[in-house]
Amino acid sequence: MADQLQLPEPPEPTEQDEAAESAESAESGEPGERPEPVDRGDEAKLAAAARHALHDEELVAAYAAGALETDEPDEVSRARALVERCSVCRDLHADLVTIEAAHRTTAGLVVAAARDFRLTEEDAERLRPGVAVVRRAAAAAAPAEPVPAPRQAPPAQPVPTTQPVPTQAAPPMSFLERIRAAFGSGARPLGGALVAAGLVGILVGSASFAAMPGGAPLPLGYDRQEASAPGATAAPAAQGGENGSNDGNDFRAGSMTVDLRFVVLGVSVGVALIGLVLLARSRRRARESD
Amino acid sequence: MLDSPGFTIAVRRMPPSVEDLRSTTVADDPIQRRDLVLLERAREGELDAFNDLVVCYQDMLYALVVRMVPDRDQASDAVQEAFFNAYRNLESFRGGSVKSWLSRIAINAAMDTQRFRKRRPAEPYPELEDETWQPPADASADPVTASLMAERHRALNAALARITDDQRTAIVLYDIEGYDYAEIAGLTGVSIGTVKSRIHRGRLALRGLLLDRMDLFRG
Repeated sequence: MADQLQLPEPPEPTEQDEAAESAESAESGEPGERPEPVDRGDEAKLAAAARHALHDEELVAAYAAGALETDEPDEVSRARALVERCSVCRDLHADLVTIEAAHRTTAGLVVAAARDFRLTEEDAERLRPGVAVVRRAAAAAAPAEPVPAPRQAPPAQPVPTTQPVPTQAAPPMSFLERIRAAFGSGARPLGGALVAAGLVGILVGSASFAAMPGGAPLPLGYDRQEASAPGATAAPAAQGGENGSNDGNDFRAGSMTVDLRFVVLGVSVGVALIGLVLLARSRRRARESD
Repeated sequence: MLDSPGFTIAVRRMPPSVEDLRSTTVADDPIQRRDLVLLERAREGELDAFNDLVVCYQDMLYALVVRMVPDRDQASDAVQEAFFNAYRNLESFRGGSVKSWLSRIAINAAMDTQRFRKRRPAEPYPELEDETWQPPADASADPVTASLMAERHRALNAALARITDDQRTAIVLYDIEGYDYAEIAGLTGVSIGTVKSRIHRGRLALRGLLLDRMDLFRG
């Protein structure tokens, strides 16, 4: 009987027991008697990752940035709980703090500018507020100032990437010379504008003549109404006042219309000629300066 | 858990260790006094005085803008436009720090460039893999530290160039330039909550991009 009594065999260890044992050995720091299966750590990581998928990473980022410290106590406690209980959130928090610190340490790095950003005189002229012609006239009227010495770099500053262009000294100019220079520098655009305006005037004047019923322009003082009357011939303007069908007012009105068109045409031709002269002079000056 | 060595509690952010770009009201600051004198002379029409200011701040502004607009040509154009705007609006300077005033103009120019890029999307920003970034002149670090810092900077810049413009702007202004949330909100024209969100999401994106190189930043 006693021979038949047998001690029950110890039960086979379950998976939970294995996991608990490996965890205990890991915590105690002793080498485990039973080596942990290779896929056990991966499973734990997967489980942690699955749990972390539901966590609010932006909340952890805000917590890492210190943005929750004052105004959102509930959020702070939530974020703190995440960081305490989730290893992935804890790693994320540590990495974000590290990245922020790395940014701050590199804040002092400087890079040499890729070009020289100093403004030229042309830039300054273009950028100054106000009308350019008025500024030029004001500059011309202002008393001549001594040309400043070549500038020196201010103290305790980074070395400029390119050498400054030295300012060339120029002899002082008289008032008339400065006026001439001020307007001379704009002679070319002014000449172009005058030529364009003159051409427009010539076109308008010609078009007004062409639009008249008679087509061709009439001589000064000639009354078109009278000329277009049936049976009328080329009556001289001087006879208009004595004609029974016309009084003096009609004659003067007709002659004034013709005069105005001639005036427009003449002025336009004159303006265009002045513009051409200006253009020619500016071109000659440019050639001389070359 | 909290007392484990790898765990760091977030603390309120310290001001940048190198130099704060925000306006200071220290009248005794010789640099600020010099800037104000130069600005006053520039206002009176002295171009050389303005160009002295340009020489003083062109590298600093370029470093700021090229972080926001990682394309070097576009960054140069933005800085040039910033100096044009500054010269055009000399009269609008209302006192304070000239450096801060110029920084704000440059930030606006950089954001204009970003908007222009958004309207005309071209290629992504090239990574700034170059050796021209230098530590400040007064830093007497040993070569190993300097090399490590340069390597970190390259990695950060490469990652910064790959996040969105809005996130990059917010991170550069907050982490590097030292502006606070309200100032960034004022500069970028969005709410403080949006600024915070951009910074946090940007950092998360940076972490994702730098995940394989985080060892470079530790220790």
